[in-house]
Amino acid sequence: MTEGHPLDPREISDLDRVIHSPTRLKIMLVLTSVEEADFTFITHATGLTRGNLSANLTKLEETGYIKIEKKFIERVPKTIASITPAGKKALEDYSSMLGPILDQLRE
Amino acid sequence: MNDQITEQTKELRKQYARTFHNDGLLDFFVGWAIVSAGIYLLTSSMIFSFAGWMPILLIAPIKKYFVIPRFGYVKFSQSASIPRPILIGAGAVILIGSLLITIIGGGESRVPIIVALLGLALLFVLDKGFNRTTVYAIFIPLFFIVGLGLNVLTPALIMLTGGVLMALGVYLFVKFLQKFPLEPDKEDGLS
Repeated sequence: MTEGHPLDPREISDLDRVIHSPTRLKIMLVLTSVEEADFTFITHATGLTRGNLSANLTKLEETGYIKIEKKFIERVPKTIASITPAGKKALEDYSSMLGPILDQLRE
Repeated sequence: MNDQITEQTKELRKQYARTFHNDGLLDFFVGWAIVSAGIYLLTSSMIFSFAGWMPILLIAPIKKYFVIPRFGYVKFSQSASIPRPILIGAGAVILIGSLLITIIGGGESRVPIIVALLGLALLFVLDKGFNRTTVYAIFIPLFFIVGLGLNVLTPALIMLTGGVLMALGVYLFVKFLQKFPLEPDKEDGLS
């Protein structure tokens, strides 16, 4: 979709469904803002329950948008998540695609 | 990353950093350093010339045992931090330098304290670059340089200022512990 063209509803189907979920979008935004974060921090930052967060982190990891590692931080084992270059690109593409749709709806 | 996302992520990063550092530890230890400077000026006891800065070394372990388990671990940006060995080295040079100057000067001069305060405050700013350290980095040197320069700063006033900051630190720390209670360790379900 390019700027200035009339809205074609068919293009909405092209939106990335992995990111389009509000829960996963929250996680992606949090992880884009930091270099890496553990499970506890992401829980606070997104307001999600541990179970919901866990399921959605797994989904994002399977898609290759985030990387999950078990690391020792100050000798304490932590589950650390970080966004991958593919995840950054996907979020950028999603924003570029959604922006014009919202602009046309505002007109 | 497009401009809108970049702006949003910058704002989020600032918000997270503010919350993470809003535990009152910096306020408490800066307050203690100022109280110690006041006691030193009152008693000329060299112990208080340095005792004020030593507890700052406790910030890292307190963060590790009280703050991170509650708030979670987060790394904001690698490029924003000075490599740890350089930071520790610079801090040591400042402390040892001010100690030597004080010993050479027979413990009479107030300059080493001001230099140490200024140097350590600037190191904090360079390392963290967040708002409260910037305020302290400007406030502390001005407080001493202007106050002592104009002869309006008495040891009692210095100790009172430090005491207020320490009280603020305790208040923020308690609020932080209430806002982020320690949750029982559960499995996160991720392999």
